[in-house]
Amino acid sequence: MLELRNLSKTYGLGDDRTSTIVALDGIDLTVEEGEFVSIIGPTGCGKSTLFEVIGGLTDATEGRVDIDGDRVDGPDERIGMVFQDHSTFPWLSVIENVAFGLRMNGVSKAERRERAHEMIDLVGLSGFEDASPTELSGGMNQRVAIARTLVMDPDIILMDEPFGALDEQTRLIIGNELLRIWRETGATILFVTHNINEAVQLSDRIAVMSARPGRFKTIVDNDIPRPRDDDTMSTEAFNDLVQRLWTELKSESRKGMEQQEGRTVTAGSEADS
Amino acid sequence: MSEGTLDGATAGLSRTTKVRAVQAAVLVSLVVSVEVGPRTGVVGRTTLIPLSVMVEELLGLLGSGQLTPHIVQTFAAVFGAFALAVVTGVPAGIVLWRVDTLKQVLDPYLLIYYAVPFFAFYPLLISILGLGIAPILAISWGFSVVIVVTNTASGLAQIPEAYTAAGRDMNLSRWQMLRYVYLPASVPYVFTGLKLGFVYALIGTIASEFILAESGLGWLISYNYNNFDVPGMYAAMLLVISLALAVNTVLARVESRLYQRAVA
Ligand SMILES: Nc1ncnc2c1ncn2[C@@H]1O[C@H](COP(=O)(O)OP(=O)(O)O)[C@@H](O)[C@H]1O
Ligand SMILES: [Mg+2]
Repeated sequence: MLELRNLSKTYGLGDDRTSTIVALDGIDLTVEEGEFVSIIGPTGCGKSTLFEVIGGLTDATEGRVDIDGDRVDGPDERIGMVFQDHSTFPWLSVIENVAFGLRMNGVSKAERRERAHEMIDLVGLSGFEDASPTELSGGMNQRVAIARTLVMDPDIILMDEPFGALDEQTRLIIGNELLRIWRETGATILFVTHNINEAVQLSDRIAVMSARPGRFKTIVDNDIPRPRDDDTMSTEAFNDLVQRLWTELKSESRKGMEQQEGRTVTAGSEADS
Repeated sequence: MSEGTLDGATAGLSRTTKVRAVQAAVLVSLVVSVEVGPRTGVVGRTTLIPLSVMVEELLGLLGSGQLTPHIVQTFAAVFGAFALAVVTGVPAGIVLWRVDTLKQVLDPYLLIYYAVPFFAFYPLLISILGLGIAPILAISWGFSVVIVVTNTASGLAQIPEAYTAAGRDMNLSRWQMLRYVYLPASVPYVFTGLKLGFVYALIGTIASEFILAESGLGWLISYNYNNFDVPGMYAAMLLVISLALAVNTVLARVESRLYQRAVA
């Protein structure tokens, strides 16, 4: 069980840290083991910051993160992250990428190979072990990134817009694959996306974040039965939920956009002074 | 996997083939015109000699051992200066990347560095370091090191955040991060600096030898020029160009070995 208690994060801006930006403000969430929770919210509302805090890459200003009652401080082996950008290492082959974390943790070569092969199988990349990521499509690179995270056997996987750079069709296919992987591994997944359809296709619950400072505006249960196939996406229940989430998101997105424009102005005046 | 990667790959391949073909054509026409131009009298023999004559002259001079002292002197200066530029420039680049304030202070100086007419300082260096290889080394090093520094620093700064975030997520130690993420990720940028650095060291050495030296390939080129030994001049030039190309090729090989980039 993952528990977020009153998480807040304030960034200091500029060299002297005089001005600040409140990215997260009192985030509370409990995620059950094996649950799939999506987070949607306007750009700049603090989604990536939230994941960095949960993953221990940056400290919270306030609040705490617990896994089964045990506090997370700093990078934690129980948590694995998958990023949006090309984070696979182009100087390593596919299998070396997947085995990288094991190698850094002193796992023997034979065991590394075996576990990496298993994960490459799981994400559907068998036959590409010795390819370079530079030869692979964006979708295949994300599979490599997912395998690289899975091989460390995390209990909780944080995915920050992992399919954000993919086209719609690839996104659908790889989304279904992710659900299969999720079932097979039993991992808990937190998933940030801009795509409401994707959130509804994948998750058990969907948290809608407000514009900055980031809070959870509402958390919606998704009772649409699994497995959810292509037909599910044209059902009324599916579209109702999409509509409802869109309504929740719309006003926040507008606020978020105004903030972004406002910030450019402020940043300009700061630079002048 | 219905992701259409293979189509993209083949399209890319045929384009590279085309580019390669054009590149080869340019090289061949260059070689042919250097060979045929002087032979047909389009260019005067006192200006340019056929490539085959240059090669013949060079092989003759190499065989007779006449070139050996010049080669030794020039190679010592070029490789010495380049080695110095690498061992000082790469660490300096790392420091510059790490220490923000230092970078901010030095940035304007680095920017105008190559606008300074370097060789104008040659007399000064000679009065400080005396004649011989020392002032040549100093100039070549000075000419080469800054391009290595700036490429290293900007290369490290350009490493995508996603690589380092992935490394931190996997709980890498500082050392592991430097050795297994920053270093390999910076290879293409650092090697751009190294390749340029070598060329700059070569220019620094040859040009210094032109100005004031009693031996070396640069001196030989200028000496032969002044004594109307056109074949001798071109033989020495050909040797210098071959050296530049050979080292560039070696560095590119090492780079792709280190980076394991798609070997198509
Ligand atoms: N390292 C940082 N320093 C200062 N401000 C930051 C930093 N990272 C993010 N921010 C700011 O915090 C807010 C939330 O950013 P982020 O978490 O990336 O949002 P999202 O992922 O939802 O788009 C933004 O206004 C952003 O500019
Ligand atoms: Mg983000």
